[in-house]
Amino acid sequence: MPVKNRLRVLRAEREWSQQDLAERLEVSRQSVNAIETGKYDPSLPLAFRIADVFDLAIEEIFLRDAG
Amino acid sequence: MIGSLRKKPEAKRYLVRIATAMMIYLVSLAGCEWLIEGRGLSGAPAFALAALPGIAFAAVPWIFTRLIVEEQDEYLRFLYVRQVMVATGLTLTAAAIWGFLETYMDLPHVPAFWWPTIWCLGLGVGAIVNKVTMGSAGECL
Repeated sequence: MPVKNRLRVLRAEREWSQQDLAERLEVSRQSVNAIETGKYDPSLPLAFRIADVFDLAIEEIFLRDAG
Repeated sequence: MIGSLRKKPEAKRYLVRIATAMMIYLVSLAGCEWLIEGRGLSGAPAFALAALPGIAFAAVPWIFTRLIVEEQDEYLRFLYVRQVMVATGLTLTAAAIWGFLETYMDLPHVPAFWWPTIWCLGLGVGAIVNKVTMGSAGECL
């Protein structure tokens, strides 16, 4: 099932660079870029970490791609 | 790329292991040439010495597998697994096709040590495939 995410928007709202977010998540900048561009869907544990960093629920970040 | 490699312990271990394996490979290869080819060493010591370069070379897949196991970043792990799949696919395809070609056609026999060599080169091809399809080649070649 295709999944889209709001990572780029949420990051921009906080004025974080991809590197900033990567450091908060303790992953590589390439990981953040791959998730943002939809090339890679994170595992559930990483999705929870992303949700924690943004202080949101997972479903507020990752959405079903109906289109 | 190399800068980020130096910061991560798992990547450091990877580089140390590869350097050690290559050192053993080169020294044992030189030993084979000197003692077996040059001085006629034979019997069990010659067998043991002749196996050493191959054992050192066979360590490369193990070392890359350890990198996959030890890597903390799941996306990089994913890229490394793709690299291994490309390398393995290329090597098995080349070995299978060449095996039948040299059986039925007038082609020279390829010594078996070339297959792991091709596998190592395949890791490089895998990194290029990752770069083209995923936008990132990972951090270790």
